[in-house]
Amino acid sequence: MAVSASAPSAAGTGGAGTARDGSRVWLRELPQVRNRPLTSYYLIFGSSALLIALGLTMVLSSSMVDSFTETGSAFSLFQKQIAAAAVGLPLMVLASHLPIKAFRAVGYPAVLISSALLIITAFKGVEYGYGAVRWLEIGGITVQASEPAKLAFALWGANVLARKEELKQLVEWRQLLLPLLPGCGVLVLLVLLGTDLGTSFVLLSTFLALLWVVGAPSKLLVGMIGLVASLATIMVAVESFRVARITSFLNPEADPTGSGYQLLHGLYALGTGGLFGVGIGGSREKWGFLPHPESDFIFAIIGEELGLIGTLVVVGLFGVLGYAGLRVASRAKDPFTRLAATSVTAWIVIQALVNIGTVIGVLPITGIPLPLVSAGGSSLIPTMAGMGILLALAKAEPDARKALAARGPSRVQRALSWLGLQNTGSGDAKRPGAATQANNASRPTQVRARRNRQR
Amino acid sequence: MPPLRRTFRRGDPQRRIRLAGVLMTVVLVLFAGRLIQIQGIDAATYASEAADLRLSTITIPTTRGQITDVNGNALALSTEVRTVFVDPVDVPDDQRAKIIGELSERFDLDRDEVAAKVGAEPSRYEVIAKNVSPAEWTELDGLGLPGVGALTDYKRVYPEETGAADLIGFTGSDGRGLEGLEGVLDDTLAGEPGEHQVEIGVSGTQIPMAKGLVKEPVAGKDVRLTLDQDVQWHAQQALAERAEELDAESGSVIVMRPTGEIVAMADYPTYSPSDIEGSDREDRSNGAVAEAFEPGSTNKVITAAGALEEGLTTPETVYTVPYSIQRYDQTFKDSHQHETQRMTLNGIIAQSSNVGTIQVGEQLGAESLYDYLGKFGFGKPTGLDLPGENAGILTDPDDWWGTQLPSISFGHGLSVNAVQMASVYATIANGGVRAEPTLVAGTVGEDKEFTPAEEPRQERVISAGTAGEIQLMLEAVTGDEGTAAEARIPGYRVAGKTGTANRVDPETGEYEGGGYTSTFVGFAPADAPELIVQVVLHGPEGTYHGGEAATPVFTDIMSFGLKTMKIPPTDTEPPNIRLFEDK
Repeated sequence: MAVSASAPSAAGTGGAGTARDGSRVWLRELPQVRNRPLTSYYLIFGSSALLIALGLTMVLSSSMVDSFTETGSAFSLFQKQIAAAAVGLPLMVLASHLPIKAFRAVGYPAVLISSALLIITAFKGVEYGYGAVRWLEIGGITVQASEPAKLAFALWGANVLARKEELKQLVEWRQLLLPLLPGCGVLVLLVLLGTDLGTSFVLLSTFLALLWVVGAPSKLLVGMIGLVASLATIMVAVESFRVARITSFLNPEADPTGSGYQLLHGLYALGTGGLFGVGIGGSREKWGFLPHPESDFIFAIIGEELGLIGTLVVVGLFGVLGYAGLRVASRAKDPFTRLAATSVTAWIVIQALVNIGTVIGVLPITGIPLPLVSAGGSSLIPTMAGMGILLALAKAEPDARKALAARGPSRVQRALSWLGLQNTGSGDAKRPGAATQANNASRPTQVRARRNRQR
Repeated sequence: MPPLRRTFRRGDPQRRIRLAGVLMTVVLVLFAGRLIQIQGIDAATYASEAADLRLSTITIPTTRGQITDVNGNALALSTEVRTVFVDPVDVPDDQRAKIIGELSERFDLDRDEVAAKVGAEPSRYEVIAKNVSPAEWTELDGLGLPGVGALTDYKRVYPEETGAADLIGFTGSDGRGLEGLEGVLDDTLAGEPGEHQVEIGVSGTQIPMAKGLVKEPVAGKDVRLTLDQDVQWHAQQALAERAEELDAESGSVIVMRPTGEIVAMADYPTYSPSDIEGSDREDRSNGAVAEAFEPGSTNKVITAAGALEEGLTTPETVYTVPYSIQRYDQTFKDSHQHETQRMTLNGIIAQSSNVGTIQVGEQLGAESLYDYLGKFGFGKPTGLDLPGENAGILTDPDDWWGTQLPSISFGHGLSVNAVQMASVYATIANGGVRAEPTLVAGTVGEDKEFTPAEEPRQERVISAGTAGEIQLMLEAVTGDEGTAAEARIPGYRVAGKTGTANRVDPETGEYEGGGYTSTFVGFAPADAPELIVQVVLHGPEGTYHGGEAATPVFTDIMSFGLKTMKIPPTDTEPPNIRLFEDK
């Protein structure tokens, strides 16, 4: 296998180079850094951690005014977000330590639960605001079922296609589309019942991304894109507020107090921020001008308070995240890892692009949050879990697994040892072929790791 | 084979992942470009449009300057007051009843009205009471009622009984000068209100950290008039008393110095500045400048002065003066039946002979008479700039018809306002140099520094010699053989001139039923004039002739003025001048 050859060489040159000083050396090493086994892991970890931290800060800043007017405390919405992050963080850590097969197992039940929640939402949900999505109230907490549905679909879809690939069934169109297309269709339909156009778009995009990476024929993809486009047209035509949103993004100034209002004020916020921003907390648009400054339009507030620098950093971080996710997919040998990395990355990045594209006025307003950044526990918790899964997939890269094994168990791993997960951590090890391979490869890595520690 | 059974050749996942990466990168770069466009290139446009929506200017009120008399006594001043308001959003429900009770009781307001204002959510500003004294507000503020606040404002106050209401005028509800000097001097008095630029959120909240652009308010300047409060008050009283006694329609008093400074300007009828609503337009108009009338005999001094200045006659030149004289179709008569007399120019003025003045006027000629009338200030504005000024009518001599030269020479066929006429006598008293009448002595800034007003324009109209000769003639008016012996003031030498003119009824535009205008204008001490007093009464009822209606008022005000302004008598004797040809 190619893996055993490439990993040692990458690590070897890296170890030799670090002895010398200067940035020139570092620059020369960059291509090798790209090839290091744990690069994806650190890129995903770093970018998502930065995005979550920035998100919490900006949620506080952008929600203070509205929170204060509504509840009398400037921190009420921020506290909810912190609580969501407090739930999301253990989930993320846990997920990053789960074996791959756990994600495969979770796919079907997750989709079923999501569908059930979506059905309840569609019939019992509460509608908020202008053309807004439906929310489900469970024990005083409002939940948007469409958010976890995206994660569920990403795992389920990847699992279904991976199984077919492993069973060598992927020779017929039928195998590509069943049960994936009807499953996706049901979810989209349920989400649409809750009038959430943005989420349906993300679901369909994730579906297309899966088909693309699994190697579906271009004809099928073109057909699917055509289907999605015609569906979208119908959806838009049915609801009048969508028509207004679509047309207003082309010229927000045409109706500055009506359909173009939110977009126009998003642009005002970005413009007010200029290059360097007005400083954290200094946003003017959050004083009641810009609707949803802490969720759908948080990117505008980032632009206002942190300027072009801030917005480019956010765009860059999603770029890094996307790059790292695709890198995981590209280096994965096992079909499920490749597909799951693809679907989770596609979900996060496409949602981010749609949200940012909306704020900067190149896409119509759909009303989806900026992943990891926007306020809203329903969105943050599944997204953080998704990040945990992506981290787990990154660690599952054969070379990465070796590199990690060389370090010994981490504190978290030790803390979680009572769950009895370590042994299954390299779940493929039970397969005889893979076990020997892993053993063979691990020794030189261990030696190198010890050398590194001595320096 | 059904379509779904069709087999396919799978694409290469690695290639497709790379393509996806490229696609993502392209979109991200496009987005970055769009961001650079919004936040870099077009940022200023968006930012200013956004700022326009939230920037709002709060005006900081400033104090309006005082109007004071020459000694600094206030005739109009501003006092600080509070406008008490309630912010219904800030009123907690459990205190609502208490707040309503407190407000309605304190300001004596209807409970239901106050309750409506306190409950007027989502409004954030409901005015409860205006013009609340600072002390009253401090007391209310001490109760710490939530949602009740006050704004500083200024209220214009006019001390009672200044007797200058018509002259001072008043301000409108916006605090800007509306009438009288308040209006004329508004630019000086008003100052410049400060500006506080704030950014306001949608709900009306001020965005805290946004720093507003502040323009400091500039307080208005105090204006010091040439007026003397005491003389003004006395003049107003004396005028009103006499006007009511004689049932006159209107009247005015001007007290001025030879150098043009007006010491008092009273007008009848007037109004109380504390009851502006209860006054009508006639009460508020300042008749001293707004009412033009035919001057009558007081105009004779101009005819005489012109003829003297041109060297056409001397004070002792003897004229043959019959009782009446025919010019074209009109017969001009003297006021009293008399035999044909041989009178000097002195006598013509002292006895106010129309027939004699016509002869002097004909000596002077229409062109010259017109020139002198103009030089003495007729036919043009006084320069006081008071609202509603009527500059009178002085037609061009080319348009005069046959009898107009004789009639104008003794004060008919032209019209003047009271200030214009008084200025003629000020000019004579000033030795022939006419100073434009003035009311404003100067301004006092915030530093209490007095800045004198611009010197009034001065122009020599007649020589000092001519002026002196006229002064003596006018003194003879109050002499034993003059027309106004009752204008004498013990201890002082007084010069003056009576005037009577038929008055045009302002309602019909005809002389018929208009009554007459009675004038007395004079100065004292006659040999070193310090004060000019002119009294004009329009339409007094009764059988008074000539100056008899106005003269007692003159004597009263002149005595008071001399005393108040501490002008000593000159202790000289009037020279004996010849009024008639020596027999």
